[in-house]
Amino acid sequence: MVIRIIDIVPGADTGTQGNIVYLCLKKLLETNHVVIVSFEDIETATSSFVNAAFVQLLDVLSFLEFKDRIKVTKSGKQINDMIKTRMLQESSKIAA
Amino acid sequence: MSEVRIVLPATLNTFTLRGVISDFVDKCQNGLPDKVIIDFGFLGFIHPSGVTFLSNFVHWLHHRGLRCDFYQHTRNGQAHRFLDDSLFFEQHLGNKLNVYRGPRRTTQHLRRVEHAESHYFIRGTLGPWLADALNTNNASLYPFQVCLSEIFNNIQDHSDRDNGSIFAQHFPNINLVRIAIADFGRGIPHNVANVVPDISHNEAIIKAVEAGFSTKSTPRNRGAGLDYLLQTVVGTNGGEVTISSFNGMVRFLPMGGGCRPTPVLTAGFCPGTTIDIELRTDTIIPVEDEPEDLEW
Repeated sequence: MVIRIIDIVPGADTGTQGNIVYLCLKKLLETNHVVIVSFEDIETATSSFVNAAFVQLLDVLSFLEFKDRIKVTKSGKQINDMIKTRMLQESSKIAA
Repeated sequence: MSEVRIVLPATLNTFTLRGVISDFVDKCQNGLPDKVIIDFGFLGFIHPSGVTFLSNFVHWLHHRGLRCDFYQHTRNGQAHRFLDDSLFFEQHLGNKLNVYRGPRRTTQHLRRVEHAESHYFIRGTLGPWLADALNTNNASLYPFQVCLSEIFNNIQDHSDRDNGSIFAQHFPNINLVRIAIADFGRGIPHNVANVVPDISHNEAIIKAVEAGFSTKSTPRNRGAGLDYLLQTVVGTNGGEVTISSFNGMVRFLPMGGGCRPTPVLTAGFCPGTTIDIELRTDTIIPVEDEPEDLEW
């Protein structure tokens, strides 16, 4: 299952946009083992967006499950760095 | 009609703007006047933070229902021409002083940006301007664009305002870009005091930028935005960030790949929050604009 962020929200700028993506991902994960998230045509992502869209999923998935079931594609370096940094920081808090 | 005259200093920057407000408060001991006269006569040089602050101050005066007149603003001095080119007078008087003048290539003129349009402005206007000025590609500047978006998200989430003033200037001779964003919201010390009482304003600013600290506990507010700003501008780029809010003022300086907070002991105060970013243009890391898959 592939979803394109740009088909759901106009950008990855705000927490509100991130929350819409989160609700969509949460629903898709109920019926799909792996969801591929495409950032095609999205240039940047803020921490608010990543917190709302992805970090929130740590309430329902472990970090290992997240890495296994959410695949991020067609994303630039800034987006990848932001997702990795935020997920690693928040998952380490949970582990502690 | 009661009036108060505020004389702008010879240089208006992050440091001296605090004195302007102190002067205003001192002269308003018996309540707000009907009219405020801003005297531009001595103004010789103005930094981006001075432009955004002054603009917000005039907006605030109007917001409070005060009449605001300018005095000696038509002097043909360097700072007066610069303010005219920055569209300051057009924004506040309705017209430029000199119709033949306009925004300089080295600046992104003064704008009051609503949160809803801020990300489009940063992505569609400011980012491409900066890439063109620095002769680099947009992707190399994406982290800095996100820093600005983080600030506008903070304005919306943590101040009681929905807009901020932004002004950017490129100084090619010293390899520097200065970007100032100012809001007249409730300010960082007020917000932090709700969570950590009895904390000084400088301590509140340092607390606010701490990774993981947030005055709101919502899924999107996890205290990462200001930390990202400092890691990107100070830690990676080697630039500087100065945050001024009410009685607090802290400079964040590069140190060993990280960032050293340096409280500034200075008189006066800054209503709302002014963030002054100094970006080094000689240390920007080129990044290919090639989408890839995220690898853990």
